[in-house]
Amino acid sequence: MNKKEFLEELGKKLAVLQEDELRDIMNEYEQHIDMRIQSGLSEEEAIADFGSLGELAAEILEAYHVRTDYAPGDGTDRTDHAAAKPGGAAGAGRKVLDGCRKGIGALWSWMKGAGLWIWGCVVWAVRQIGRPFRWCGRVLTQKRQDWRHRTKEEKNPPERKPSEGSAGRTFLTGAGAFVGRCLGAAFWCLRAAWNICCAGFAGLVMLFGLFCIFALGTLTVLLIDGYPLAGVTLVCLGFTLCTFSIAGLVLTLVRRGKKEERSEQNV
Amino acid sequence: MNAQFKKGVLELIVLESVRQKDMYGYELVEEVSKVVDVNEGTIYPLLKRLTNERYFETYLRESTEGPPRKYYHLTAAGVLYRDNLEKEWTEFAERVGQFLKERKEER
Repeated sequence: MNKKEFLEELGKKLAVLQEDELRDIMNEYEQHIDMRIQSGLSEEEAIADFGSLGELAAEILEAYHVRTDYAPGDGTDRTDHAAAKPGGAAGAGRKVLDGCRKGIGALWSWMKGAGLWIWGCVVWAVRQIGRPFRWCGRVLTQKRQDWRHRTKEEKNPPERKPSEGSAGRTFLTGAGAFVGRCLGAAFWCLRAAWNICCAGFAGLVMLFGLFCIFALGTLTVLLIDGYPLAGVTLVCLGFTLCTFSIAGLVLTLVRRGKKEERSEQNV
Repeated sequence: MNAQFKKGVLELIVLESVRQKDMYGYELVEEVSKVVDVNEGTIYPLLKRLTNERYFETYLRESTEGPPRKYYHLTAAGVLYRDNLEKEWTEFAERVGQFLKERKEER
């Protein structure tokens, strides 16, 4: 038997395999025979080393979890099976596929609906939670503006009427302005400290988040390679999402402070 | 050597060979043939099976002579599997050896 005959015969016996798989395994055997010939053997000898063709084919099919008693049987019987089976299998496969697709579509639309609903709830909840903070902020700015107006009013009138000049009154207004300025400075310092704290905290959290992403990537690669790390990877994913949401929250707090500052400066 | 014996350890020998360095089919067959006298045709199905089970990854690399060669590389899962197999084998060999020794002493 020469190389061509051997490969043809083997191809016939492995006809149940998918085309690319078949090509793959045939390539291996062809290369093997070529290299044997290169190392000095004759074509016949190289092929004889493989032993019985039937046994070889059976062993290959076994590697694919194909029932081996299919292949070594006589040609007609096998081709019948081979012709009948893929059709049936393909039909069943298509049915299952269609079912899956429908199911996934329904699930997707349901999830979309549920997602919208949940998003609406979240937006509402955030608004509700934010309400007292916003109220506090408004009251605080109101108070501060009042302070400024008052100090201005108190500063200006005495300049206009120094002639009436009661020393006690000028002293009082001066003290009031001083206290107002002090309070303003204190407010400013407080907010600066708060912003620095927020930014620092957000930076730390984001650093941790970056580390989490790195760990997540590494773990995913390991998981795909087959290590039993599904649990750890999920935990890591959770951490990643958690850190980023926390960082986002803290950053919004920082921006709120800045906005207030800006609006006040405009006023 | 008993064919059944060979079949059992063939997997371990193949895994260990590829662990040292990536190899292509023919190279691997030669390496394994040095250890056990085995029908060359049977190693390819074994490689296929181990690849399907994700213990091997394959990639093509050009060679100076002939068509590109398919190289086999042991994955992390393959390393774990190999270590497990080695442990099983050593334990098994020890037990059988122990059993044979005891019987010899009784005699």
